[in-house]
Amino acid sequence: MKRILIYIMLLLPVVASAQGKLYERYASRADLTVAQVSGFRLNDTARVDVVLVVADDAAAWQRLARELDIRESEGVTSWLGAADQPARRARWTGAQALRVVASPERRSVGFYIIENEGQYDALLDYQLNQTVKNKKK
Amino acid sequence: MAFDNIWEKEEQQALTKRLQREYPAWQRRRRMGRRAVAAVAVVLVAGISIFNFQFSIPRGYDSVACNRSTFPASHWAEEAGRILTIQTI
Repeated sequence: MKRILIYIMLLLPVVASAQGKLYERYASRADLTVAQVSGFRLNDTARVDVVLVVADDAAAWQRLARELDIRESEGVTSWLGAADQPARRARWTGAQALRVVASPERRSVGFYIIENEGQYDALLDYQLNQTVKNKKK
Repeated sequence: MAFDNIWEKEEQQALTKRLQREYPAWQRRRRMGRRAVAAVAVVLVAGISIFNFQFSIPRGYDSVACNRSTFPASHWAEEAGRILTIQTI
């Protein structure tokens, strides 16, 4: 009982936040593992909140891919999604948005919650710089 | 006088015997005590060092929440970075 209370207390800030809605949406599903990383460090000044959704098996991935309209079967695909509807591709308007990154290979989707332009630029820089670094290796 | 001398001698011998019997055990206990103190000191210093190191390095994330306890928090933080960077360009 005490342990359950501690878990509830730990999860309260997650559930109460706006980002928590995304976490809540997938956390209740038995075929998905959902993790929320708060304050993921992009550079010295920018941090973003991330929600990672990993499908447990191929069938679960198929369902998730259909839901999010992930058409590409190989490699990683990413788009800027509307904050309330991750599957809907949107343009950066200055309001809250999601950078959705999906990897069918890893059966996982990452939702990067962007709240300002600094985060948006830092995220794109991170994605580009790290990818170039990885390619050079 | 002679009686006193004999008494002293016997007492001396008894003391020597007792010392010979008990000293190694006492020495062993003393050695073990020292080792125990040294071990506690090493564990304490190592613990403090690890604790300081853990909290001195800037972390790549603030906190992690997961609906299952399959992996440690650091795994998800790494995954958040990895999924961004495996894109082929």
